[in-house]
Amino acid sequence: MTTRSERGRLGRPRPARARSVLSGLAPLAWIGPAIALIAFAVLWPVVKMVQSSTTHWSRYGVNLGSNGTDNYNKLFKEQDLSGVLERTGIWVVVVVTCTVVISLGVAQLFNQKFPGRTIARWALIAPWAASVMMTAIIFKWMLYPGYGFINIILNDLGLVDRNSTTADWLGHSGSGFMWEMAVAIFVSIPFTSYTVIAGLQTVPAEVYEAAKVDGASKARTYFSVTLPLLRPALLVATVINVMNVFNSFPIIWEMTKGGPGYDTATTTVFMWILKGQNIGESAALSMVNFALIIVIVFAFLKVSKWNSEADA
Amino acid sequence: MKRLATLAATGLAASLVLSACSSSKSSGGSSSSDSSKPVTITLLAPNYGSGTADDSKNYWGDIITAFEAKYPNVKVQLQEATWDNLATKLTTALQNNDAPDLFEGGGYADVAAQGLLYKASDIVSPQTLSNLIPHVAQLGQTKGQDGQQAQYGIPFTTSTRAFFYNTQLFQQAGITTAPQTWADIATDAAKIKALGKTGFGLPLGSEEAQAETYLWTLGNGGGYKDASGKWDINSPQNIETFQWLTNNLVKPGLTEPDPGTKDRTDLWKDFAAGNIGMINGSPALLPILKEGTIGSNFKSSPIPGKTGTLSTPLGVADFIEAFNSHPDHKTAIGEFLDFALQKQYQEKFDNLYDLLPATQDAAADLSASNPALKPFIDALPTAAWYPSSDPNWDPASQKVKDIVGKAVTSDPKGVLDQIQAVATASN
Repeated sequence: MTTRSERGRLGRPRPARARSVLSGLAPLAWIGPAIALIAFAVLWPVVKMVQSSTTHWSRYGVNLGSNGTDNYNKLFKEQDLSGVLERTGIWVVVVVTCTVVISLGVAQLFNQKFPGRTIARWALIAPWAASVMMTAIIFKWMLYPGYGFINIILNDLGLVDRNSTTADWLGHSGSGFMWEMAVAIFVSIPFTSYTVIAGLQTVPAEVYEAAKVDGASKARTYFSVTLPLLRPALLVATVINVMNVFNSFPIIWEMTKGGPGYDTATTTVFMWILKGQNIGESAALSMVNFALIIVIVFAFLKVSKWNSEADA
Repeated sequence: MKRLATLAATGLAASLVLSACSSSKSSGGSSSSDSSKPVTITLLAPNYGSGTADDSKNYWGDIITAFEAKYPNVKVQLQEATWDNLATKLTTALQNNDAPDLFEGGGYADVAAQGLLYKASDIVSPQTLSNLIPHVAQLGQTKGQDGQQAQYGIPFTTSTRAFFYNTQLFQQAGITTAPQTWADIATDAAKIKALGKTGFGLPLGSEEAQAETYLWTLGNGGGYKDASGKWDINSPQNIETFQWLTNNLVKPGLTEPDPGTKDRTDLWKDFAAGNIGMINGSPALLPILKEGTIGSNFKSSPIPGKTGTLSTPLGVADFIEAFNSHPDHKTAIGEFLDFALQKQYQEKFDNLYDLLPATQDAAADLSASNPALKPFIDALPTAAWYPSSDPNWDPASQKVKDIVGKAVTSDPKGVLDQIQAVATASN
């Protein structure tokens, strides 16, 4: 309102113009704190990150001046990098896909009325509420060869000899990484399920009634009515999961420390390992990670047309 | 006018927030060596113990209590770490500009070269310095930032390595003599495996892979450096060593599964439980054996090499280093070190953990009072040591811990090449 009345008097001499500029800045008083927060919590770290990635650091963090793209050159020559990137791709795709698919089922189940539903819903929170690090450590113990809980069960079922090399799940990169993905899925399911449950509750009963009247089968109703209406909830769940899973650190670190060698490390874990050897190179990798996650999220949003209103 | 005021206030608030955050690192730089002013010094040290009773924080706690009684103005704060994260903890602390005043347990050359350490002669008394075992003290000398050779690492404890075997399993398997060569190890390990136990414990996981690697490569005339002092990690002898291990111990299943991911302490405990036939150990294994079910059914002997036992045992020295980030702590640090390196505390440590002293008076005393340690003490001067006075040893040994386990599952040359590259990189 003020702005408009000021604008009406644009032709006036200097003092008035100065005032109009000032009042044009007035909204800043309201959005200023938000801008300051973003500048401080988002932009400043990004600037710092770019700076660190082009700086030569001693192993103990003494700044030895700028070194241009040396850190990046060194990083891309790292012979384990391609394996790490590949593994990160598998990690994100497998964990997020499995999480979403399983969560759809879990949410459907928990959306039904059955005795003890409240307790069951509370129980579903447990893997989410527990510290991821503790969950990872507990799984590590359960997978311990010889007397780990999971190995004892598998042994008693006659599937795996608990003293065999197979039972040393975390000792080989293949099976170790598989179990780490399983744990990642396990801890991601509660959040995703709750998002989907919330989505399911927004689906109005009338559309199901209409589908029933039209004689649609159960499967048809699910795929043509429920899923499309769940899209907003699924989108949120997927995007948040992609970012979380991509940046996930404690599971892999606690279970195998990225080893043997770097054979179970994803980019986040590898970044941490590099930090002990070369801070600049580690910062360069964190820039690569940052770029990757932005590209992945934008590509995903683009493909899923997140801002289109119509659900055609 | 009101708007202007709000605007100004917001701007001010924002700049305050920013400046508050940017000025958080500027403390602790002022210098004053007024010894009457109370100071708190920090000590970061590993736990040498294996249980609650022999936790090293009790050992340090006793020293600190006695020290604080004598020097009421100085408080000593102990931070304890496990061996597998000690190096990471120090690196992180240094990167965050939060160095401890004293660090015990790791390498020193790398930080000394960066000018982060006090020279020993600047902080401890000449008596303390001259009391160090000369051969061991020499290992603590390296070039500082000024390019001058000086004592930066103050040896705190030493140990030598030996080969341990389970006599009961040997008897059951019909083995009568301790193995002398690698081939003997393979033969004996196969016999023990037939009993359903693990033949040889090979800890190539991150905890102390650099020791196991050194012991095996020494056995083939290899090691970390060649005779002229150049890094030689990917030498033909070393590659051959890992090929031998892969083909004769790991592939036939004579070791524990996946040796590349198994840590020393876990295997020592397994050996103490009677599940492993042979393993390389240090005196620090003895307390673990006392707790295990193995009883007295074990013996130690010289470490087998490819063609015969090692003529030089591997010696390991753990150093104390003093960081110069708090000039006002300098006097207190020196006082504490002089106090902690007294004979009585050295001996107490060695009797507690069966490790060896770093000071001459304690060595002389212990040779007489603890005959079990005497042969180890006598062997100290002839031991082979890590190249710890080379600034690249710290990054190189970290790389060994990270990846050497893969040398027994994939191409050893590729793995050793990578380690050699880190060791020879200019930092």
